[in-house]
Amino acid sequence: MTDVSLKPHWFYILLALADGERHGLAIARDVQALSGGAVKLWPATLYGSLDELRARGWIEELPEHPEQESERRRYYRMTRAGSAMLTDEAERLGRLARLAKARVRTADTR
Amino acid sequence: MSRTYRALLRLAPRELRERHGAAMDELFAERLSAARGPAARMGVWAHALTDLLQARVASWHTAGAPLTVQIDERTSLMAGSDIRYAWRALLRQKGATTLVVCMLALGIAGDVAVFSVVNGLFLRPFPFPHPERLVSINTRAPKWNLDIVGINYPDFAIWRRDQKLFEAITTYQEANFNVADASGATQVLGALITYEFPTVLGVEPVLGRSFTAAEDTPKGPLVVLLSTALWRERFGADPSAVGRAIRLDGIARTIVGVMPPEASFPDDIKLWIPLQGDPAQSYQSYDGDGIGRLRAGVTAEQADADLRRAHQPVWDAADKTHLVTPFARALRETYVRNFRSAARTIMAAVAVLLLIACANVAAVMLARAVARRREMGIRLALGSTRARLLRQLLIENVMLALAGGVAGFMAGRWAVAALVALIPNQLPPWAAITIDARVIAFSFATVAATVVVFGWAPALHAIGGDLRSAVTATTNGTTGAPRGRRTLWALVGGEFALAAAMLVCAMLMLKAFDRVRHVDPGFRPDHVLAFAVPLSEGTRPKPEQQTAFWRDLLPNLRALPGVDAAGLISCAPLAGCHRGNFFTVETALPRPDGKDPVVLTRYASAGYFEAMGIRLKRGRVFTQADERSASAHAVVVDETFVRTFWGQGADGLGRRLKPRDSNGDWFTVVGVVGDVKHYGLEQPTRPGLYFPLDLNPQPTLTVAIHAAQDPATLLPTIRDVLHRLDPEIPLVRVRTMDEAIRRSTALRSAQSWMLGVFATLAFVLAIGGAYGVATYLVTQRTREIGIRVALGACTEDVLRSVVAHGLGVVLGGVAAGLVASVFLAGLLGDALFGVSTHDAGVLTFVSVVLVTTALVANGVPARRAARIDPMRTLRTE
Repeated sequence: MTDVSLKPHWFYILLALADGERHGLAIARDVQALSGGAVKLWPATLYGSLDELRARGWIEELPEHPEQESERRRYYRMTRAGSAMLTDEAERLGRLARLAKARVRTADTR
Repeated sequence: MSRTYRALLRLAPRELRERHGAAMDELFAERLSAARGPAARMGVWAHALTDLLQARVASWHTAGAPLTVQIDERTSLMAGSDIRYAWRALLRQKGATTLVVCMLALGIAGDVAVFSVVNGLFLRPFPFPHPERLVSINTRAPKWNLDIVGINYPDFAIWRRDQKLFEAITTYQEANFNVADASGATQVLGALITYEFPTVLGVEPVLGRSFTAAEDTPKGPLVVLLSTALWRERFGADPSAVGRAIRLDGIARTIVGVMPPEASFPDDIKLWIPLQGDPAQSYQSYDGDGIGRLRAGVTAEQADADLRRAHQPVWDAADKTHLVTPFARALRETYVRNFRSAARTIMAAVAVLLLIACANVAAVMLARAVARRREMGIRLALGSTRARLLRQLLIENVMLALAGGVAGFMAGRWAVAALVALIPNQLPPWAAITIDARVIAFSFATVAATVVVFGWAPALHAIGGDLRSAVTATTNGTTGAPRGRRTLWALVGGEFALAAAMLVCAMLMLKAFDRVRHVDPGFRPDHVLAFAVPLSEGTRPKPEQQTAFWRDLLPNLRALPGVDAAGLISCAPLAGCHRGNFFTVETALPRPDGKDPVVLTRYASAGYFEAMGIRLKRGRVFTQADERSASAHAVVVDETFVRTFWGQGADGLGRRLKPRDSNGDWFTVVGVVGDVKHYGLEQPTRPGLYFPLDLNPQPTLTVAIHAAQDPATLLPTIRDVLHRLDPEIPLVRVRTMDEAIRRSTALRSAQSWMLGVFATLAFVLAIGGAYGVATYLVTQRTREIGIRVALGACTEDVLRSVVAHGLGVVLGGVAAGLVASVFLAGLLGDALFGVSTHDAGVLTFVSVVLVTTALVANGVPARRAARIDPMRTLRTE
């Protein structure tokens, strides 16, 4: 998969997992908080994305559940590949932001 | 957890669903519970639905995994590709797809809502074991014109002894009890029951025991059964309440048990005490209602006959002329009679609406099908089979119907809530109106039927006929297939016929409602407050004590600031009470039918007529003097009484009457007052009269107060007055007379309102259908119109040629609808309240509105077509 640009909600999911392992519901809550309420992941999108990210090897499922948590919840954590993707994407976005700022400034002065 | 969301999960790809179903449900539930208000909740549902559909569509793009695991893989793959193809076809025609989905949703929502109500009232069984074996028992007196007399306890004792086909029978009387404790005085509804009552209903106490036969005898012990609700409220659901005492009407009674919620039948009963009737009582009191439980396999008719057989000893001994006859009939019949005709009308309206929606769907689908003849022709020519094409069209229709069904179901849930809110106090308490499996099955059956009937026909149409012409025909070239056009116009004509019929019926109902609202109630409803004051027979057992209380109360109320009249009445208008008697009337006209009319008997104090605003026609009303000297023997009668007994135009003043079979004194008519709509604005008036209050002291009376300001604002001061006189007495059934009138017409208002809404929807759908078909046909004729304009036709010519045909169809449809409406309105019968079924104003209004709007619906696309630059249309070929 050479496609570098990450779908926005994938980016947010990885961002949520960068903080540590989580189950799906917690990821959804995190994403909503991280985006200031702008991004709401609906069930099929969330779990579809999780399956997809797992298939790409960017996240993985924890083999066993942490204690005192519900049995049926699956826990996820980011893999090294996922972490690299996230870093790349963050850098790409940073470059983009710098570029945009520079362009807007020149547009203003003109 | 949401069961509906669980069902919707089927829309998502199977793998996703199986792996994450529970977690998805959890997330959805969290979102739903975070949503505030119905609009937000609808939003969550919409989001979730789109989300699931998107996941499904996305899975087709990736298409890595096999779609399904079926026996014939080839077929399943083809079905998969059909679904994808159909999805694309539907997306391509966004406008038509949205239209069809909305129309289906509308029809289904109406269905779901109305079926839920009908289901709750008529189909769902009572919450008792073997509810079909329950019958209501009562007596009637045909010679007295009375359908329901009530049950006399000694007669009941004989039935109980002699009946053979019942497992058990019971009689009960509802009564109000004052419950007073430290927190204040309230009144609760209770019932006096025979010990068989729980056995008949098939309910068991949840705590303690029910009454024994020994407790249900005259002078038996003072015991009581509490409802679960009262037990919670007064004792905090403490099990040790059994055995303790509770003060009712100033008398302490021992609690022997607590009954389950469903025992509160037929009304919201809070406590039960044993009837303790005396089979040997010397007087007759037809105060009881009855319920019986049939033995297995016995019909209501057999039970009815059995009861009459058991009644024989009563006829032989006391009632040789068979005046009173007992009867038994299915329990539900007693409680739903008021609703039956209303529900039937609404059901018919919904059926018509659904029919119009379906016709619309069919029209849109047919238009689509005709437009796709070329595509179908090419696919056939390329070797596709007709079966394959049909299946593909069917899949398209199923997808459309599913979307419409889901949307309609959501809207229907909302509509049910709205409906229940519209008729709150009119519904019997046991009628649970919810969406159950049956409603879901019903609405999906409707969807399936719509798809099969209205989806297949156009599909067949599209692939039938001459192939070659279909292939060579250009899509927007010459006029479309004439057969398709005829069918389209037939559908539009039919829609207009149905819409016209429905509009006429709705307008007639609205007119009837308006008439009912303007019926003169016979009293002045504004600024009048009425409330009942029940005295405890425990604290004031003697009639003199009761009279003394009433004498104290009135001056206190009259002294309140703003009050300009106050009076007492035994039975206020629209309160649902009735006391009928027979009278011997001097110089009465002979009755042609030999039936003696029942006279509504009330006891009124001085000041009542002024407070209620009942008009005095002749003579005078009661004064304080009548109250002080009951020996004056004055009586006030109403105009219907005068007309019934002495004929039209009689004066009545000074004539005399007395209760039938009484050897007492005669009463002289001192005044004649206007009729009061005692039983409801739509009900006929019976002859009525008023005696001075002191003749018959009452433990419960209704106070009527007329005030200069909003009478409801007086309530706190009134409570103070009452509390000063006796802190144990509650104030119940408080309402303004305006409110009483509104409540008495609530069912009719809900019915008219709903019919109006349905008719408006039908109208909108019909206009939409006409517009859609006209637009489609004009598009088909663009080239022809271009040629005409190029050859010199002016805008008017084009307009005329396009509109004329459409308008002819609409006129035909409306005419047929109006004829049909006269018959349909006949079915509304009494609900029309005397409005003629062929009311000229209504018929004219409906035709004008429909034809005018149809003209616009046809004219707009025609105008657009006529304005087209002919060169452009011709060049595109």
